[in-house]
Amino acid sequence: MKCERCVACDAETPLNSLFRVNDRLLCESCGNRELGELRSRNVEPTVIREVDPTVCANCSADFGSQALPRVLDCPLCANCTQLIYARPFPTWLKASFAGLVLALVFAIVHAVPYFKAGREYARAERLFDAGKYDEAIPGLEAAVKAGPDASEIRLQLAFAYLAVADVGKASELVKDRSFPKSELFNRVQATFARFDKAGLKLEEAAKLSEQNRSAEAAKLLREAAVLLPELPDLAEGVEIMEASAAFEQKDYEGFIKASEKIWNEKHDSASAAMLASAIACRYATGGVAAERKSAEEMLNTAGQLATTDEEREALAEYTPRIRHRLDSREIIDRKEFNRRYRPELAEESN
Amino acid sequence: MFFIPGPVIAALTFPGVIVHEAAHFLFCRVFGLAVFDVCFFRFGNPAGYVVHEPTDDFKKSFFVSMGPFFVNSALCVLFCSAAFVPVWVFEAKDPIAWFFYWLGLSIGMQAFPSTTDLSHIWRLAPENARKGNLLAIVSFPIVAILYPLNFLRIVWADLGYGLAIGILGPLALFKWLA
Repeated sequence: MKCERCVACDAETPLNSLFRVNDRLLCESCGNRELGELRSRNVEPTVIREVDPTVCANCSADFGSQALPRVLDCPLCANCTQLIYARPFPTWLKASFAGLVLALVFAIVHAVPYFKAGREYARAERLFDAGKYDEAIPGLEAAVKAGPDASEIRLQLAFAYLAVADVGKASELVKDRSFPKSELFNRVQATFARFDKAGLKLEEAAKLSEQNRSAEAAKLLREAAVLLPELPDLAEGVEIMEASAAFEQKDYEGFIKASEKIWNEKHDSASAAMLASAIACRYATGGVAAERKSAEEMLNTAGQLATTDEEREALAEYTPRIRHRLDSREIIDRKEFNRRYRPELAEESN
Repeated sequence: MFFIPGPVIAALTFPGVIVHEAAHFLFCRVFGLAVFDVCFFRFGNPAGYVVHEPTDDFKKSFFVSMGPFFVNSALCVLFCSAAFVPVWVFEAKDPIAWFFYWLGLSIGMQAFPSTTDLSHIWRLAPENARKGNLLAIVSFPIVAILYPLNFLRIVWADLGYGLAIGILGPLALFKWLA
């Protein structure tokens, strides 16, 4: 340890305890006194603490007269030099780093199911944007399952369901939920409104059809078909209703024409039975045997085309009326037929 | 725009402060610079610091100063990517996902090097750039962008940066992988 004398009190003092105040080497008490005097004379003091080159600045170990190497002007012993150059990472920091790595692994594992759903959603979104709504539905379903609160996805799925005319599922998706205003929200809302408007027309058309007012029902159906291009079957329904209207107006040639058109567009049990019914009407009015044969053939065709239970059931309801027409050459509507021969159904229809 | 005192922000984003100082410390160790004092986190200004030996070696100075920027940014993108799909795509009320998003964001918000760190680079860059040091040349635009951004912390530039890399990074990753 090196010592020097204070220039004021002449006391021998360890160098580390001395200060240079405006270039005068002073011990702490003399230095404080000097500072007070300088301040009273309004002189700006400069104070520098002396550094003993034989004492380690970090651990205060005394190396006698041996001057220590300096790092940043600080004399440091070999141990302390090693320490500051290779300061160890604190244990808590190493543990935190390990925790951070584990947390990252956990975060990635936790995100895997979301990411899978996200990929499906990205694919579904591309299909949605391309207007392939039916193909987009499975991916959007998976996305809604992963994020039931995601408004955008829910609206996309609702819109996709509306596009394939599944109003029930679309309604279920938006029921009792509020959505932020967006272009998609407006589109969904407008589509629901369109379905509602068309629904009212369809309901009215069904009532009119029951009342044998098929011409008026056809008009409403046509309006509903314009409102709902998502339902191509509605256009077919319009044609069927027009055929029924012709039957009601006893325009049997018109009935045949309309039925032939439907048959030509779609070969199925219902269209075959309707054409058979129309030809049977012509036979009933004209009595041409060939017409009867033709109607019988068409009825057979309807039987062959009826592959589902629903089709078979519909045909079973329709066939007796056509047969009656062929056998009796009397044309009566379903209501009258049921009243005479199937009172149990007549009661039901009332 | 509302003001939140720095110590409160530091407390809310304390993992970022610790990562920032740990990155300084790590690069000091990697480049063999003496570390006199280190504080990883405290309630004060600055919230953390590393007092290290100065160096005139540009590479050392660059990495010690900019290390936290790269480390914090990378960790922010990683953590936010893991939480991005549940939080942003599916708006999931999943506390685990939200925790990781906060963790990523808090680390990203503390990515900016301090003006002191940037001034070290700025001091050495011109001379090294003249000698054709590529790192020094590259450092000019980086410092030119980060220096003013540091002052813009008062208008939430750090949060903006955290959100930018915490959303755009994962979004790009998601788009690429999906």
